[in-house]
Amino acid sequence: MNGNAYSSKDDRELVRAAQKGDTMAFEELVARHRDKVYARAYGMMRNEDAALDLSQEAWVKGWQRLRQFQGESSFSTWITRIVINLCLDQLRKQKRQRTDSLEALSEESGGVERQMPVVVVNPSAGLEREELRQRIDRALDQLSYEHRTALILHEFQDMEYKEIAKVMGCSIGTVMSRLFYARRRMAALLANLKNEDLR
Amino acid sequence: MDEDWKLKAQAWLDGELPAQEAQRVQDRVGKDAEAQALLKELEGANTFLDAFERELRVPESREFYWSRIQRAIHAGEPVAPATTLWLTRWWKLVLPVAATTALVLVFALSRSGPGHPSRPAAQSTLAAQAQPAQCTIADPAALTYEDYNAGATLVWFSYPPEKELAANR
Repeated sequence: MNGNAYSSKDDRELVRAAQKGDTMAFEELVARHRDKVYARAYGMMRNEDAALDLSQEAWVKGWQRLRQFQGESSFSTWITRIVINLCLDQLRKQKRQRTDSLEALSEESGGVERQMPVVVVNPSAGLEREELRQRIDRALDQLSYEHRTALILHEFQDMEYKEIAKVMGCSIGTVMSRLFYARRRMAALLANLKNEDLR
Repeated sequence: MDEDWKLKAQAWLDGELPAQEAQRVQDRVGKDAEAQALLKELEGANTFLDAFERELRVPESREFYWSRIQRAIHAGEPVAPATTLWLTRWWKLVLPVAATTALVLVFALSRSGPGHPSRPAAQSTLAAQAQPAQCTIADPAALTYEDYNAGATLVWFSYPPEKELAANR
């Protein structure tokens, strides 16, 4: 089968072929979903090298566990779950080696974000796509691991509160609080950046 | 807005409330301009994140990115396709049966061969009949059967050996 034959197949056909040991079919799956898997890893790790390493490791694990994939979810969801779990493991290891962030302390001490004034944001207003990406990137950088992870698991993985709580090893109440903080902080950070640019 | 109400409004936005409670929150949000502004802000964060992820690209070519994955796949334990595994198991079951059948067949042929007294044409002597048949196992994976009367030697190889099969499982 040549490359064109693979590119015309849908994910399910490629998965079936890959489950029989066809690495070319798997390569096509990698090509299709690599940006998403990398973006998810980058969103969590905030580091290009780590995101590359973990995203590639996720693909290797995906290959090794491919026969376990029964199609309950889309292949894209399945492989991004793998990369998220790898990122969480990595972040837990890193967390053990450092003290809690100021944001986490703030959250535990009562949550100043709840007193923040509401900020109205308009994602498309006057921003070029690359510029927007860079600004969001910087804003995400300012979130702690806990807040960023809660946000990413909820927004990108469509996880429910209880699932996030299980993955992160905390209560549902803490998930709600982290999510609330993360969203409001993102809105505030992005609104500030926009105002700076307008000056 | 008190803190609990803010978190409840967020839970409503995320579809995390049971139907009855969701209806109560929805009614209250409908009358509360501050809550509406808050929810708009929370939704805005999602929009930003979607835009962010769409723009991210792997900073390597398709070939280069794949080459590292491919190397790791080949270096690691290969993923045995379902069909191969089935064949391995099938072969493992059939092999001993086939070996036994082959031995019985050789033995039967040797008894009806030219050296056997039941054949009129064969004028074999008692001395010749007394020559032993030998069965040796020099290699755990190979079985040798020699019948001096029939002048036949049969070597049965069983590869990969049972031990290897077990180790690879």
